[in-house]
Amino acid sequence: MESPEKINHMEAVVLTYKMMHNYGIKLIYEGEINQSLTKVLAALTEKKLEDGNEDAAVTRKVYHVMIECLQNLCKHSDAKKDDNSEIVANEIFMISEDKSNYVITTGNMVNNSNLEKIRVTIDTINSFSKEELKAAYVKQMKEGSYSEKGGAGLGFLDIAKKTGNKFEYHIERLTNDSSFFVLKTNITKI
Amino acid sequence: MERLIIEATDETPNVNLSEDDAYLSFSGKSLPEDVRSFYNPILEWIDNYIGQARKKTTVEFKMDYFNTASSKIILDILLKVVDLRETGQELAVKWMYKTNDLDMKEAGEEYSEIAEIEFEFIPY
Repeated sequence: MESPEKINHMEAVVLTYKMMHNYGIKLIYEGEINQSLTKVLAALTEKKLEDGNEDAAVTRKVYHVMIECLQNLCKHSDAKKDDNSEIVANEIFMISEDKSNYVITTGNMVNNSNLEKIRVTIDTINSFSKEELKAAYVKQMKEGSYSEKGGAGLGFLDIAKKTGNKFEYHIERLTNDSSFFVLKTNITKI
Repeated sequence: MERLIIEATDETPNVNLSEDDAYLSFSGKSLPEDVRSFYNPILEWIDNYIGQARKKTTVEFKMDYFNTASSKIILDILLKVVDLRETGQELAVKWMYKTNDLDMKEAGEEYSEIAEIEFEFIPY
């Protein structure tokens, strides 16, 4: 006889499968993201798109945005463990696809004290015109310095500039100290 | 000066810096986790080279991909070699890009504008 646990597991698999299918999700990774995983996921996706005869320029944009997003997660996830929360303090990375876009979504834990800064950064970038984005990128490249973790402060600007699309985000408050921050980027198909 | 040659990996470019040939080339991908530890020896080599260059220097970029942290270093490299002109040496920058990679071409155009160096754009 099957144990209820086993049935739940199988049901969860079927549910996951259906959900992935319905939302056009091609890849989900949940766990700690590091550099070697970044390279593996980017190479895997690049190969998948090439095999599907996706346009070379679109493939390159997806590859580019993926690496920036994944390296952001390597560098910027705040909490690694939060005992009070339902969600384990890992990162999530997802690629999905609809008729007109590839969608790259990341989720990570953010200290609530940092939320405002992130919100302002993304909102400001979203408000920029194409010319303003270029100017901000050039300014940061010339005048910015490397962060402790080796970032150049160019990731979000670069993604916005390369995709020509606005970021969407969602903040899920988990505790008094931390939130789960979800960021979505669209790459328009040709 | 010793030639500096670094073989390409899946996250760092092939680098070939030669004083004898006055040729500095970078090709491949650049997405190291820590750009500074990879590029610092390269920037140091270029600093030493600038005082010693005796003929026209060519810098060649043939990059498939670079991340944003690397994009800042590429600007640092260009802003260093531009000093060659102050020491009276000629400088040429070749920017090679895949024929259909217009983002890469555009990146070169931006560098050319910021560093105030005329690039030769070569599709391949």
